[in-house]
Amino acid sequence: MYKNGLSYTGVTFLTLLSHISMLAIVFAKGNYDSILAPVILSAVIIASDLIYFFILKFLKQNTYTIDFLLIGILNMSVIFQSCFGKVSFATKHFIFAILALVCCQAGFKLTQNHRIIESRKYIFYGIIGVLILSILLFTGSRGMWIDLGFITVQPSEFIKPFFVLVCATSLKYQQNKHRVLGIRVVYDNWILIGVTGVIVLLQWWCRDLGSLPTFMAVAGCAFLFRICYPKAKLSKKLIIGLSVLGAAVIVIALKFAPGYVQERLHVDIWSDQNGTGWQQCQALIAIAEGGWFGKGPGNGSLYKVPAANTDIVFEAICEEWGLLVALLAVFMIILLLASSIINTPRSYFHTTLATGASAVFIAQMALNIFGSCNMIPFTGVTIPFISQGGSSMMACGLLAGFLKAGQATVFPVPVRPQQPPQGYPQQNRRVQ
Amino acid sequence: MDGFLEFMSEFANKLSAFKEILSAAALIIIDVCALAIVAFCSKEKKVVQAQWSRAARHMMLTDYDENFAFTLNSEEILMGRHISVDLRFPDMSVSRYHAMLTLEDGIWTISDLDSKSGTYVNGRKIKQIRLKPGDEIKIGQKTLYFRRKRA
Amino acid sequence: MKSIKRGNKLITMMLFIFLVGMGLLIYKIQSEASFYISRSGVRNLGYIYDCNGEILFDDNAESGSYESGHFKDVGNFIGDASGQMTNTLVAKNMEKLSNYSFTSGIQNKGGKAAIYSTLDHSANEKVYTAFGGKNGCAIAYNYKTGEIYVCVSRPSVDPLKGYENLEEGSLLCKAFYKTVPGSMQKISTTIAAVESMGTDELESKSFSCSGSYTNKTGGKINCHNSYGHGTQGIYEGFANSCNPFFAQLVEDNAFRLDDIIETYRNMGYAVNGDKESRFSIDGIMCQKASTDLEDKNDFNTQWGCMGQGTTMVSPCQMMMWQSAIVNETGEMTMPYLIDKVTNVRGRITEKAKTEYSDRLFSVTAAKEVKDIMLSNGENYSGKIPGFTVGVKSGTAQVKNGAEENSLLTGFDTDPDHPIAFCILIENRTSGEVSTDQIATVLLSSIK
Repeated sequence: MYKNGLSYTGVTFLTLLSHISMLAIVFAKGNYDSILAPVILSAVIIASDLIYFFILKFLKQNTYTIDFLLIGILNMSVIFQSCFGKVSFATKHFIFAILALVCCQAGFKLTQNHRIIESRKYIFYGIIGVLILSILLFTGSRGMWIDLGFITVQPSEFIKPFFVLVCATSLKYQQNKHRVLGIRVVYDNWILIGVTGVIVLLQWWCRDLGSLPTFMAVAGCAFLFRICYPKAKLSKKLIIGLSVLGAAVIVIALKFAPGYVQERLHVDIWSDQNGTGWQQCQALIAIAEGGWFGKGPGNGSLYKVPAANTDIVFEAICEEWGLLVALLAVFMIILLLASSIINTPRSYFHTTLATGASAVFIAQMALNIFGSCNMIPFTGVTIPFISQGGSSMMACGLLAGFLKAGQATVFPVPVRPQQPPQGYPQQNRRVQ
Repeated sequence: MDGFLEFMSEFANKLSAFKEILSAAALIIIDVCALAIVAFCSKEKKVVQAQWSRAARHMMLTDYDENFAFTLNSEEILMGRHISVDLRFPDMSVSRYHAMLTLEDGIWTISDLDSKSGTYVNGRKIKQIRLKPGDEIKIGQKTLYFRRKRA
Repeated sequence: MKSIKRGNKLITMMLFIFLVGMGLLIYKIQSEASFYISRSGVRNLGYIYDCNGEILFDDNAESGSYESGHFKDVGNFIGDASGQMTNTLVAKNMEKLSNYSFTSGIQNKGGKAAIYSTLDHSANEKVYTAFGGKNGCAIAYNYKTGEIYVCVSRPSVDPLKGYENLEEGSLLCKAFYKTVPGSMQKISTTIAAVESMGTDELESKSFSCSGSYTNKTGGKINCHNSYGHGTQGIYEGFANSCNPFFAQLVEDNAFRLDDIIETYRNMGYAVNGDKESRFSIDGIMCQKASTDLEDKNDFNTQWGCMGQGTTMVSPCQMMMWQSAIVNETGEMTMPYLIDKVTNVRGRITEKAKTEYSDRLFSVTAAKEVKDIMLSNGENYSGKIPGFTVGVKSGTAQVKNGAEENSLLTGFDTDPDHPIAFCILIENRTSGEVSTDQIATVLLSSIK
């Protein structure tokens, strides 16, 4: 029995079973020198699963969907990361997986009560400011990492969850208007536009163009949520119509664009297979070699290519585990987002928060998978939870926590319930 | 220990005979697992709904003129004439964004959003007030009753 | 609830776009996987066969499994998978040869992926040998169906013997690249003349030749016959390949320059610096033609209409025009090399169909030029014995007149032997193998 009164035995069992079935594949098809490697991997995965489930029992929340999905995805990705090239144990990735779960809980606790967040929003603007400053001071104009000696941190990854947080708003907050030069404005919206502008300029300065679409997607969602209130000149139909028209214009323009523009957009990686296109060509060849069911864990050759466990991790999984398993991993992340559609948040703040977090996840996955498969320009971004990288894992953990906050809120019930005035139903009834 | 490892390698050898079946089985199990978790969502939804109803004190808005009841299902409910609001009254006497109901710690509050015709509770023009069950709310020419849902 | 549902809609929309993208990705991977594999080091490529089942390409061939020079006649045109040549049948169609499918992976043994080409290997070898020591190229196809039977370019390369110490020009098939057409260009000019002034008026024209002609701007056009041909109509002028005749024809008031340019452009010439287009024969890129025509009284423009100056035509394009003439339609039969393609399981995935181009010139022009060429062909009954042909020869001065290329294009009118061809011998001097000798070998070796 969990705290919300439901029994999760079946789900626990299935999650465990899905990890065990993957471990069975490692045993059967894996490439390992000694049987010790897969045994250690199995032991750690199963033990950590059991520990996670045990801890979950003590968490007081209404829903556990996100937690179970997250445990499923994270241990799956630990198995993936452990098998690239040869079965071993990806200790670093495992530690970051635990950190991601902790961050998820932290993000959940942080955003559970939105009134506290909204009254102290300046703190989060402050955090973003500090992160931006740290980028300006420490990474240099073409870098993204800060080297702390024992570990490298990527501050721009941490900006993402906090940016999502400041993009979220409640309806009440939007009513907090001030009169400036005869126009009623919400200060927060203008601050947000400013912050967006600063972040965009910063990304440009760092040449971290991969993160740019992610921030733009979040800012776009925030914008959509705000223009409906309080001065809604743009109706929903108009927005949809305009975006459809915009998309059509882009498609037509691309079709009839002069050749050199199209060449820019569609880089022919195969014409320079051993030069700049090498990474992507190897990745695509790896998918083709893997087929539906893959070569088996540890039997791939893509791990030799740089960024095999981050930027082209999707293809690396395709090669060793097959396209179907790789698609399933992506499907799990999609379910993570879909769960917040099924179990809708009860407040506007959490809706905007969940949408922002979904925008980050979807943008990151799309940029990574479609980019590495040469459907859109290739930028080095990570797939949430699947790619290796501590900063990204922790940031995504926080975002998952935001998603959870929308579903698993424990609503405060008044200690001393008000007694309704006696006999009010009769008093107020008006019969036609 | 050595005996265990030997057993495991023999086990792995036996497993490798069923490679294809294992692959297919793993796919199905992961699939079923993911879908089962999400299917559980709908069960959890009921839990959340029950918790919410307790927190929102089972309140709803009713309009006897048109015989309809609006269950208060989220923390903030915008009322007005605009198409994007939660509770819409296509009546010219109602402003586009007229008033807003908010729930905070189990207490429902109504606040006027600078509407043209004002918001009245029990006949008094108000800016912001806590609602009690049985209150009569007047928005433009619409009269609504804030009351408890019957079980 | 409405405002919260808005969020749900937005998430649903984003998920939907992403899922559509994933769908496209799976489709892309499915359809391009064989291409990816063909670019990898672990590929296994199938055979290319000729029309009689002889092997023209074998990726796993070792020296010794085929007799020496087995692949030499088609070496620079079938190519190989080494990446040394890029405009070859193998390089452009590697994915079709790949013994691979996404479901079953790479098959190293028993894969049945293959290309069945339309080429006739024995005919190719005979034509290749007929060139003797000369360089050049010959290309021939069926003008009714479009099947290419022969395509030879000398010097060639034997892929089994490696790429060291090669002669210049070994690595490309000359039939697909532009060359100076010489008097073969008079075919195009005659077509333009019919289009501009009509058959009757063209046949009523006659011009005299006294060995050379001074044109209206003072340029001197020499005839290859220094004694002159006397007064000639179009039939005699064409047969004699008389330069003064064509210079006067171009100068004639009834023949407008705009009409020449329009007809040329329709035929595929890039006139006066137009952007040059190319066409593809089963992936192999082939150049078309180009020329400069500025003032019809000008020496250079007149030379251009006679196939010198800046005029360039690829032999393949010249051959294709013959189909538009001999079929009397004005539409070219598009050539193809790949008859059918089988996949790794032996199932036929592609089958060639005969296709035609847009109309290049009128039916009238096609008929008239066919008559003129046939009448010229009668002079060749002794040189190409046993075939009823319509031909036009050409002599092209290249390298500033240091070398003369000999060319011949034409068609066989026999409905059971519908062959159009174009032959080029580089740097030919008298006494060496002639184009009509090669044409005879070519026509008689294609059954």
